[in-house]
Amino acid sequence: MNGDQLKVMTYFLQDVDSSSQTAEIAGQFSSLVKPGEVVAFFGELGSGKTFFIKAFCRALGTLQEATSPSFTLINEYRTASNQYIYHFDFYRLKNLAELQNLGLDDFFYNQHICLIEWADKIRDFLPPSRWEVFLEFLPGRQEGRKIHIRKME
Amino acid sequence: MQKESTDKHIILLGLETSGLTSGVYLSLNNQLLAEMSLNVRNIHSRGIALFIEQVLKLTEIGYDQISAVVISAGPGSFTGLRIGYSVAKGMLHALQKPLIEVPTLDVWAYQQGRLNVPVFSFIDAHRQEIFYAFYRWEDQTLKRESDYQIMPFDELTKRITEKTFFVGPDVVRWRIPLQNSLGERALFAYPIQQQLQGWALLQLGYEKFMAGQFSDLHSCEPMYLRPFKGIL
Repeated sequence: MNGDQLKVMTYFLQDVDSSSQTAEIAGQFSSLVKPGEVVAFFGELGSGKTFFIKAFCRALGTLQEATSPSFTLINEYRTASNQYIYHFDFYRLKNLAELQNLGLDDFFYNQHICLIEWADKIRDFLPPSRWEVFLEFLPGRQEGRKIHIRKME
Repeated sequence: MQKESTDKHIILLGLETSGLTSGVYLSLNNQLLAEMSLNVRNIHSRGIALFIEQVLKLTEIGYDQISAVVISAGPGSFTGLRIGYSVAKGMLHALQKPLIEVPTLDVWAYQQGRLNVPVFSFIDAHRQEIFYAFYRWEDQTLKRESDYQIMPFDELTKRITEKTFFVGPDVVRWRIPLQNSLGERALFAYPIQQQLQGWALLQLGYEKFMAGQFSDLHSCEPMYLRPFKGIL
């Protein structure tokens, strides 16, 4: 499937002023994401990707707090409704072999939710159908962020 | 079973981890002796070693009595195949016994039995693509008429020009789109039959065993079919 055949639909585009607002949006967003869907996160270091994911997972009642899998590349969480969430972080991804060894498609085309930090690092390997979340700093506003959530399918 | 009584027998242990099914099968002189399988997601890493242990224990066959391991070689799930191969290689390295690889698409085609129409065996490769091979029965023999390949699902409908029997783990999911585009040309088995059969894996393995077609334990790897490429 070619990228140019996909429909892109924006679900949310807004500036927020506080981390609690970001957490609230993450919580609301979690109810839109269905099992089997992939969410790709884009944003600079410190833009709040992990923070957003923590709030997302908390809203779905994961039994443990989400933490960034910077070194392990993948974390697995179980929600209160026995749903699995896989949390990826590709910031420290070294090479193609390391990515191949993960068997990505087995995660992406399955019945659980996949949340991917630094998704731009594996752009060629993302499933064409996915959610995308962009987090951008707002100059002069410490906790301020521009949040853009869109769906491609 | 006593060791002496099985010394001259051919005991094959079959392993399937290429898809949803986690299966362990055992045959004695080409008769199915035991099978244990689960169709549950993400079960291979927990299930396969446990099943091997249970199947051998319940049939009272020792690891050292196994003549060879027959593995369902893919294509299929990357992680699933790696689990199956790791278990098989580890076990066989210790036992100093041979490995027999059977392409998973062959098993799917074979288990359907003799048919008068071509058989199209396929597995969902995701990203709108499928792994596939064509087969046809000639007398009592199943002949493969294509390479093991990958192609976009959309191309499939152009290739099917006559009545064809579709087999594979994803037939249930693709049945409606196939019927819509191919009409009466698309034939299927019952949905409940859509799981890999241990006896078929072991039968094909037995034929290779008798022909001495073993794989090199150190260099063999699953049939992935799709090259892993892209830019980081």
